[in-house]
Amino acid sequence: MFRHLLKYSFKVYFYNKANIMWNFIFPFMFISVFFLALGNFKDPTAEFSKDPLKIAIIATDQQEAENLVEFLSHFGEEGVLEDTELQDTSSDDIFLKYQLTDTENADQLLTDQTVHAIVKADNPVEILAYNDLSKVKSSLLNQFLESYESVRKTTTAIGDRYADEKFSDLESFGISQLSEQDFNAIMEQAKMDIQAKHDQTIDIFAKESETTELTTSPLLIYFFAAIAYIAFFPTNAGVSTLEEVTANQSGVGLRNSVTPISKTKMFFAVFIPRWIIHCIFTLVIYLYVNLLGVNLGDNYIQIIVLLILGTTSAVLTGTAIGALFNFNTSLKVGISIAIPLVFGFASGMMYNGMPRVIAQYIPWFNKLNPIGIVSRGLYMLYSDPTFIRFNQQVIYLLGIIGITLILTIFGLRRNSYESI
Amino acid sequence: MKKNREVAVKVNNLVKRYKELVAIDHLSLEIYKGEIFGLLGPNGSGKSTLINSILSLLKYDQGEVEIFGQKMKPTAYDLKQQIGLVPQEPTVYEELTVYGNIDYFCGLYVEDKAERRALVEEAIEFAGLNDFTKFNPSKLSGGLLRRLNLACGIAHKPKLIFLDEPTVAVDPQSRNRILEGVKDLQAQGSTIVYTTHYMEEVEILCDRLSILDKGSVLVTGTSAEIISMSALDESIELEIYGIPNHLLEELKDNSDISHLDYQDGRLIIKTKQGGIGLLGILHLLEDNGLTPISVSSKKPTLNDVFLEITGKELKDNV
Repeated sequence: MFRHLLKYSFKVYFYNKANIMWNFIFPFMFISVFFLALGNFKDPTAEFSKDPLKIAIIATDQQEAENLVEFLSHFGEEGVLEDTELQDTSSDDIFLKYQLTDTENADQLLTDQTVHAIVKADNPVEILAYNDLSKVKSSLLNQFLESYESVRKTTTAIGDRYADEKFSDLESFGISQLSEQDFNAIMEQAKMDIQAKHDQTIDIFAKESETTELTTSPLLIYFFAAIAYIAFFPTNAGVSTLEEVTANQSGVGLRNSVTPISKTKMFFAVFIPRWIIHCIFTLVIYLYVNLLGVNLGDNYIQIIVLLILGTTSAVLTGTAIGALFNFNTSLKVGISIAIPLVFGFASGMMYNGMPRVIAQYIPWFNKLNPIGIVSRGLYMLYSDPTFIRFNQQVIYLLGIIGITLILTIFGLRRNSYESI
Repeated sequence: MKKNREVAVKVNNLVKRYKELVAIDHLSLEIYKGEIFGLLGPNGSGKSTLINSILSLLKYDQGEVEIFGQKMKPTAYDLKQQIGLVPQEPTVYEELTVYGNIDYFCGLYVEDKAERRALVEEAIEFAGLNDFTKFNPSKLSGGLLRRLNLACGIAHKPKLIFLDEPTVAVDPQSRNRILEGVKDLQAQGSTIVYTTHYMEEVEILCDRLSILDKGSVLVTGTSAEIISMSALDESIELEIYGIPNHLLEELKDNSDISHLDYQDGRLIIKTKQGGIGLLGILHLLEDNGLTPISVSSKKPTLNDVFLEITGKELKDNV
């Protein structure tokens, strides 16, 4: 009997054109449009590598300026900094764009926000001014200059050491070759230091963002909230589940209610196929997102668990609404569309500052918002290798699932109705 | 039917209130096994509330419902196994074919696949849907849809069937098919509770009926019994010329005649039921050497009786 019910529940749900449209095609379209609209978020860290640090160098000492430019040429490109030209970098690895210029032009470039900072090539090298730098760029700029200072001091020290030797001895040592080897080694070390600093800074950035629960990257919030929204989208599947099970909500529900099948069995027979279908579909969307090249991180199992819990909470939220309230169908459809939208909005899907506003004024809401929880869970998976914060989000979701399941059963246990 | 007198459904002193409104007012009723029992009443009279209460879909405030001698409750699955419901509106899955719908609903009662297949095919045959088994409901006409609705409710061969206005808005062909089907179901031993607004259907189909109004049973019995209970007169109209005055006076003095009018060769007489009647009047005229040119007689119908009892036109409320 249960298998019979399951079989037909699958059929009925799959063959429903409205379901196909709203629950399957629409999410694909939504994610695709979202992806196109924010096509820059394939890699949330892209801004660090794709948008290089741009500096203007003022030459007060020609030799120092040449030395600095020679050093920086190993990490970036020299060019004329105009408008958005810097966005079109030829290499993904490029960290830096720079231009040797005079003070007046440098000031103009900074004012126009064409460059991030003005550096004075002197002994020691000095940052004269800078715009509102992100943590990563600020860190990198300092690391460049520190590395340059380090290289300059080392080469100066080597030069001084050889200067103390007899000139004839230098000949026998083959100083020119030795200097080049030394210099190459020093530069290689500097490159490694800068690369390490770059990676480390990104890690720190991500962890800070996670612990403060404040976004420093709007793209991250938009993106994770959108994925979480899709996971929570099938609320309507829960509402329609109850329509088929309860006599006072639909003709089919009435007919099913006079059969010798218990309401609980009927509920699970209708619920399980929908739940399975939507879990699979959420994972298909996740796969699709990966195929689009969006980097959600490498914690695949945890991401899948999180998305499935999100979808489960969505369907059960729908069943709880259906079990507790006897609205008309149109109103229920409206509610089941509105709830994910409201939760999505509160999670920063449309305005990235929303989670901060909610955290400030109604912090408890964030713990009841499944989309916010899934969104934060994804974010934390991305940034927190300890999973502590991720596990916390999982517990919140399990709590919501438990509550909605209890409410659903409570609503279903009303064996007969006041009115039909 | 009355010989058997085994009760299929017993409703005792049932009360159902919607806040201030009393939808069912201390209603008692017995439906016998094997009969087709008609439930008549204007909209809002409590028919649907009564059926939903009998099926334990509705909470009621007072009273008892027994089906086949057992108390009916939401968890009485053994009783539900024997019940079939054909709702007023076709309630089938648009996503399933005709065969799929019947198989689905039958499968809620019958687990064995082979048995179910045979029952489904029988139901398809019964409803005359053989040519439409692969059609989706949206492709069916209104009449075919109602037949599908019926087939879904009876495929598992229930002993007690509730048919809620199964012939509303159907073509004559489908209507006849459904009415014949209902008779067949009775012949197979089912007890049928039939609600309708069509008096002629009740007179053709139902062994007994109850007329409900304002949540109460106004009258219960066979069609003939109910009509005979009525105080309505038989109306006789004759075209006849040259009636002498003494004969008119004699007719007027007859206690069975409540009304007499004679003008321009047209004699209109209203006689009380069981009184002199048409034959008596014709004999009287013949004895006086008079022969009418034409005669017509109109006895009260169930619809007239219904109107008399409830004061409402039934079909106006459809």
